[in-house]
Amino acid sequence: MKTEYLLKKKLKEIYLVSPNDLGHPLLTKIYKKTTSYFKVMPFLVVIPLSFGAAFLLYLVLGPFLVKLASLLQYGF
Amino acid sequence: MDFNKKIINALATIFVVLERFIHLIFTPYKTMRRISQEKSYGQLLVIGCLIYIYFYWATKIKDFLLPSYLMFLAVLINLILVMIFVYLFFRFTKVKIDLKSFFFTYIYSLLPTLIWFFTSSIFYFLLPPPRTTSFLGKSFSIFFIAFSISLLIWKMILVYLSLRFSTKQSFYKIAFFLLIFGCVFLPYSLLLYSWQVFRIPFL
Repeated sequence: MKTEYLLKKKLKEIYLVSPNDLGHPLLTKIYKKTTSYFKVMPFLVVIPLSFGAAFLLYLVLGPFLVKLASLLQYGF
Repeated sequence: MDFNKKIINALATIFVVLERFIHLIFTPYKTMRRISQEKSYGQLLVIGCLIYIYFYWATKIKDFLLPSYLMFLAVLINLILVMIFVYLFFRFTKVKIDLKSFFFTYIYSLLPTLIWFFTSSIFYFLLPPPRTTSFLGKSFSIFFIAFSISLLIWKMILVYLSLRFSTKQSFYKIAFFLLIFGCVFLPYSLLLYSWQVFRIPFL
């Protein structure tokens, strides 16, 4: 009885929102593929992405990035 | 006996919040979905206490215009403004929003910013700015920007999930809301930065 209750509760939770449809099968497929990386252990993707972005910003902005870091440090 | 029960309940609530924080790192989708069905307001009190502790700590290591309790009050006012904005926006666009669900998930989505402010204040204490253009200065700047970007991405994921579970709307409608919210939020943040209360809109 308890298992049935828990199962129903779990199913209700899983179907809380209907799946996203972006209007085009390809877009929906890309959305699902991309979001799957962020649903579980997102930092496996987020950390390398952030370091890549920060390094790219350094290449583009140069010393301004250092100023930006100082500005953010003052902003705490 | 009754007092002991209250202590146990308070400890259990703190434990649940800490557990949720850890789960938000590893399984943000599942955890936010669970939080959206939450009913225990005690958890919000724990997060509120953490925000106050941050303000108290920040005023100890740097001088601010406002004392910690007034900054905390400003955060509460800001939270009410965000709730009103969200409610009016979705009412105007004829979308049904579960405000209670949004309230819980939005407050949990403050975790990345809270971590950022705590860590930045520790860095401010250990490595006071301004940074130099030496090798170490540049390396730390890249590290700090990468750290900030990663927390920003995490924050965006949590805010998106907060809106997704409380409105049950599609990606496009949520993205449209976030665009409008950003247009209002950015000038508002800059205004508060000029008043030296930068952290208010993010906490």
